[in-house]
Amino acid sequence: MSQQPDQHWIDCVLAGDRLAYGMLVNRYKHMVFTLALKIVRNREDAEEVAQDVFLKAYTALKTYKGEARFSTWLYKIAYYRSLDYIKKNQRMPSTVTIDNLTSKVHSETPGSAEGFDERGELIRKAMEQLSRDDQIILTLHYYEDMALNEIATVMGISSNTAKTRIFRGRQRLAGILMELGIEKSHSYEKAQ
Amino acid sequence: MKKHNEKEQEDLIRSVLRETNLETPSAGFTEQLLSRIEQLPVYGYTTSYTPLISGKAWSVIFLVMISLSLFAVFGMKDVTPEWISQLRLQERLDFSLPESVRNLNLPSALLYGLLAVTIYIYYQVMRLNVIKNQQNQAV
Repeated sequence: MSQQPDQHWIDCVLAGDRLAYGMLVNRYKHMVFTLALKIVRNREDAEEVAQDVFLKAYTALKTYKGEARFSTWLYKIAYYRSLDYIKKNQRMPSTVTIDNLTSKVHSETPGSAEGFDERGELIRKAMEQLSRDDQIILTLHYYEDMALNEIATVMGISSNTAKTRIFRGRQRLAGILMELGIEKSHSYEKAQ
Repeated sequence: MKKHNEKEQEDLIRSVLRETNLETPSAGFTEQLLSRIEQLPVYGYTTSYTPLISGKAWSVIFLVMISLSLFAVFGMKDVTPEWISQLRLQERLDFSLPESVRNLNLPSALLYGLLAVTIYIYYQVMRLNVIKNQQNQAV
């Protein structure tokens, strides 16, 4: 993927090059889709929301003034569009209980490829145990390395609230992971 | 101690989350989106409005109309050229209406109706012209 800065592609789009928007979409579609999925909890709906987010961003692109990073601006749209979607559709998100998760982790075969996939699946499920906003905050913080003020902008909260929620979310997720017997990966320890 | 715990938690979560990737939308996500975007107006592109009758054509029409009017009022007798009378158009052409048309007797209600429809069509054409101009200015 091209390493041109976002502003370059934005300028191209504003100059009439619609295909340039594809570069921005490819760059951010995973995070936008992940955020939508964490809120609407259904892949099909999340895909629809993600499409809607990029369409909205396209039509509003000329209002983007570059005060915040493009990603922050885009994720904010994604966050609020997803909330609007569940409000309109009145969907009750499904959750997995820790008991179900624990029974699964004990049947895991350590070291095997299947075991590795299951571990990843369990980590995902453990994340789903958190509140919707905690998942969003941790995703933005750990996957996107977003600063507190950026997370605060995306979610419309103060930086202090974002800091507190990261702390609590991390504590809660660590608790769930330890309960499931999931430890640090060896490759990470070596890297440290 | 508390700091140590926090560090442990931070390390655990960073390490664990590194094992999982972000979710991936369907394979044709970008293409589907771009095809939807194609239906939206393009940035930086403005449609150039070309009127049905150009300004130049209107000037010519205006000049012709004025010339004909002036000719009809002031120059009819003096400027009749010899060659027109030589054509003997009055003898060759019959401008009188046919008998059936001359004796046509339409009811007044129908005539008023036709007049109203004509006025209505003229009004529609002018109104549509104004709306079209406004739309073009807005682009």
